[in-house]
Amino acid sequence: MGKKRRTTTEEAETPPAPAPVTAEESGIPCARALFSMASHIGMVREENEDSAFAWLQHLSTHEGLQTVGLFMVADGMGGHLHGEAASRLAVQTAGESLLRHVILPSLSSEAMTPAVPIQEAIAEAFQAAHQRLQEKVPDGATTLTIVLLMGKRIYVGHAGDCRLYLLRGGELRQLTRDHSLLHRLFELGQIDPEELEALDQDARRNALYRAVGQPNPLEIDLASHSLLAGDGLVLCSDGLWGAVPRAEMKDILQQAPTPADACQALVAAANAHGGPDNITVIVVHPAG
Amino acid sequence: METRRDVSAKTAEQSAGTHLQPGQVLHGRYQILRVLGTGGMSAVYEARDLNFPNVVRRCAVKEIAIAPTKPLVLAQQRELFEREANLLASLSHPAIPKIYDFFNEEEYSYLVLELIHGEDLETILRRHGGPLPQSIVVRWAIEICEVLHFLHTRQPEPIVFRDMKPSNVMLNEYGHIVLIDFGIAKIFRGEERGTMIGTEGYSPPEQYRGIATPQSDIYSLGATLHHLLSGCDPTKEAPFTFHQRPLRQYNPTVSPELEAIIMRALAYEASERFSTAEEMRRALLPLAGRAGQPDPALFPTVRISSEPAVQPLWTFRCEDEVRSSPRVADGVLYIGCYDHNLYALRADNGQLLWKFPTEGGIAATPAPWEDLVIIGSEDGALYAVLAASGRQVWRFPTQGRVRSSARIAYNHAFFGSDDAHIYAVQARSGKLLWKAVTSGPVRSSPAIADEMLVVGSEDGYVYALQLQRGTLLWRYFCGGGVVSSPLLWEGMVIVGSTDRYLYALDVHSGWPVWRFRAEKPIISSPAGMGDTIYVGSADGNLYALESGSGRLRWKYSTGGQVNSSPAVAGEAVYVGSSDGGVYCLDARTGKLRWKFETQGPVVSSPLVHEGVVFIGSLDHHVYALPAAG
Repeated sequence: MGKKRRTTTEEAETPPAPAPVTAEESGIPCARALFSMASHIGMVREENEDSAFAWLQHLSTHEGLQTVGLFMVADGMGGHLHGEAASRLAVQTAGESLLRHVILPSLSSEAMTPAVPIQEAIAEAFQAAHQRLQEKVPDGATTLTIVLLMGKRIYVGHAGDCRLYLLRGGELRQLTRDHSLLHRLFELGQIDPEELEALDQDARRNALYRAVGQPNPLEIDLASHSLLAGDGLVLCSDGLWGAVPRAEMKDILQQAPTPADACQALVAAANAHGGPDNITVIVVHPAG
Repeated sequence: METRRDVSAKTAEQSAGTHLQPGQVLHGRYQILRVLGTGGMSAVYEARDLNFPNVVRRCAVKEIAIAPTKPLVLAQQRELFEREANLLASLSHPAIPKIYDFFNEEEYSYLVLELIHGEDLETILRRHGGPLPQSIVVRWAIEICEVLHFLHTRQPEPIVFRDMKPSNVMLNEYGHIVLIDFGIAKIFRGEERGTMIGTEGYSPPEQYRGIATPQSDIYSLGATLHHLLSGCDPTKEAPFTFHQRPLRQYNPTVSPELEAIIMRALAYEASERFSTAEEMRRALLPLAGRAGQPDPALFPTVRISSEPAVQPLWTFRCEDEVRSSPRVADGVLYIGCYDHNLYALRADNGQLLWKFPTEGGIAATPAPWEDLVIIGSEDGALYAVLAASGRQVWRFPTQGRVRSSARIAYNHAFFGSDDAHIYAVQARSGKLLWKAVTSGPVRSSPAIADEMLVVGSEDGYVYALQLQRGTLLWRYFCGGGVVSSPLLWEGMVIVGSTDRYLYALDVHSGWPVWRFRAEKPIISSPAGMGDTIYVGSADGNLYALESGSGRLRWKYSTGGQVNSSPAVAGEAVYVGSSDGGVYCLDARTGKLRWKFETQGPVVSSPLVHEGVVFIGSLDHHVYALPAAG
């Protein structure tokens, strides 16, 4: 996002409930999702090559309140402004594709049923971004992770090494897998699970085998997860997870009263660890 | 040569370019004639050795740019370079170019080598435009094994080539292979910074931990041969995924024996590869048509034995086709038959306990519940009989055939009928709680979760109904009739349709998460295990799909339609086919474990209970088969 050496946060918040009762207890339907985003250049780099997007809507339908959200983080590579252009273009192109093919049709159709399976729409958004990058930024490429929140479910598309974490029941669990050489070695049993987290700071984690805009056909990971009340989502670039140990991330998330506080504290923590790379993070509390 | 053909422009490692110009004299001795190639941190020139003024003696000069580093590290790198160069200079083998000289100048190190006239295998492959035939590749492979064996048997320590790939193997003017590059250039590689794309593709897993042994070269040779024979460049694929690209799918000239040799070379664990290049050479020799048959001992992973015979534990003969699927409760097996009867058999020996006649054939699956067994019949009724005696307790009539199998929850039976209705009746009394109407026969069997019932109809919709009242929560239109019974899995409804798709819908909203397309209708009902969904199709395949994305993991082709629904137990998946077979496949890989032939199509779905597979066949029999085969 911006190149300013300061944290930018934006927060969308629904009006707080007037009494200390939950929506379920009061019986009054109330959309409670909260989110925030922060992006920072870090302490070492000259440019911020990360791009991100966060958006959330609440809609009343005959089936009750429906929440739809779209969250994306991309980490560009290529240097000399190519990386920045690549990540920005990927986020713009994928966002436009999903708004057009999933979100706008869902506003106009009965029961909001999308015309194509949501994961096909996400795959299409990736292909659109991939093609656009090959045309417009041939020397750049980018990681891209997309999270589409629809009701009580998230749909995830992923290429590269940005990460999506789920905070549930005091555990911070990684839902995406890094498309890095290091992680591939782990999948083959060549690296022990205990070793793996310690290697988050290892140089080999930077070697990716999958990214949007590279010359080869793009393959992405698609997944979908049900959400429970109280779940938290964290979508971030490697500038965060490569700098801040997971236990520390978890503590920050559990202590921060709002997503905005969490985003700021996470970026500050990454910079306190030297801020070796650009840091972008989105924190979502789908049920408030 | 550091030929990083990946997106090297996107890394800090910029091309060294060519810093010497034609005509320039290097080291007072080598006159540069032309550039032969560049890549990554190095360049190769053709040069003339001026020490031989009366003859034109040409040589190759390899220039390696040295990444900026601390003086102490540089000194160590240079020492290592000199040691390796000296080592190579001592080698004499027709497939290894001779080293004439080496020296350092400014930020570069130079090797002066024998000039090889020919082309590297990568160039040959690119020009050929597709997979190369086995006959040619095997000949090269044998020669490469010979030179690797030579390197690996040097004393006092084996020499590991470290960088086997098509671009590092040349075919000289006489058609013999020459290894043109040793991993020596890697000594000078700088620390890479920042995110970048690309991995080596040919290196074995252990090499990334800094371990390079003769078995590492064997892996890289396997990767090289795989590339030549498949045409798939491993640097463009996820690392270590050769087994996902079976050679014979890409190249019909590859024999099962050669594929087995290459896959053995590509084992993740070094100990599972050939122990020496010589052993690999001996395995390859018979394929070159020089001598004899392949030694079966070399193919421990390939079993071309016939399918082991499965002996039924017992069989039971009915008077007509068995389309119904079995259920077991308290040691008793219940199954319906087209001879109108519901049978109760002892599960351990198949002995008849009782049979209960309805007025029509039975295609539905029985539902044992407390002391009752509940089942629908083609006569249009749902029956409840006593499990102990088969005596009728109640009968609930509908206006169409009842092929849907009743599901029992909260003391009620939920089922569909060809009269287009979904019914909820009290299981104890058969009294109607509610009914809901669709626009087509309901042959699918409901799935039930919490407060919700999900079922398909021939009208093309999947219906989600509120369990207590039968009111509509949502419905989703598939492109064709839904006979398949929904599976509730990880918050999704998974169900097949005659429009050939398997759909995954969000259980709360009915929104489609993903869909998977088979070649023909999906009548079969899906089964799940871990993160895998199994389903059959009339196209003859049993499919295994990733539950989160609907991506194909594997498929197994039977000889007929797979309208039977798979059952998963332990590490195996079981299913019937209209070719008469009952199949047991490895759940993870889809490899056949055993197959049992019945004398008629199998549309009944298997039940696996305490190590026994129970299933019916249109040959009028019920079979009990040992699950282990």
